[in-house]
Amino acid sequence: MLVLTRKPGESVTIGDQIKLTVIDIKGRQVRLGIEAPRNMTIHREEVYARIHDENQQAARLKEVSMDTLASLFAPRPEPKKGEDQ
Amino acid sequence: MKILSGRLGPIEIDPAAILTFGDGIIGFPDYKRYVELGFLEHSPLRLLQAVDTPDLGFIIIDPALFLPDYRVDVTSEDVESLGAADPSELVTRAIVTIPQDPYEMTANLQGPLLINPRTRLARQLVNHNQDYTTKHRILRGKDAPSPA
Repeated sequence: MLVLTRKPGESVTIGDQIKLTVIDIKGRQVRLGIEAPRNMTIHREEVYARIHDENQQAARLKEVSMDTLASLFAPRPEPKKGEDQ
Repeated sequence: MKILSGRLGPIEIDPAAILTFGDGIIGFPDYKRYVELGFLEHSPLRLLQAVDTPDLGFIIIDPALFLPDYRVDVTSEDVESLGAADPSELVTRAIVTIPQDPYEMTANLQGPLLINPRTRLARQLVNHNQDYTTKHRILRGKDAPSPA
């Protein structure tokens, strides 16, 4: 990994199209400004990782009991008129 | 055309109904073609089945059914990439995770699916709105097994 030291207001360029600027540093938090082509997706890494993991869990359909699932949405029997009065 | 679903067995689908996820679904970049199928009577859940392998599928739901004010931050780039002129043309779906006790099922509201029903293009978005989680409880209340 390339490690560079930057001060607030200073930037790093990556290739021709990406520019990363340190906007502000407050305690343990750094605010970054990112300029990149609009078709390039940029995510907070942990959010992306959470979605990735959730997709893996959601794809385990073989472990889902369809009978139990069906019972959750089964219509309740209509109460018959005149009964239990 | 005929495809095989691990959950439903062999099924006949209309090729015109195939949804194309240009980037795949996050974590599954190799599978780009899916179909949306009903699989359970009386249920708002649908199956998003990969066309090119029987072993990949997701259960999905319309998040508006349990969270009417759910909002996805959609950029103009997202809208264009799906061949839409306006965000209102797009349909939002959430992937559902079903644990051992299905009553505890959750919807992924941080990574919603956006679908353009006209172009059949779709993508999974990373919702930057931090109010939403990947595990939003769908069913609530002990005796109310309906979306709440």
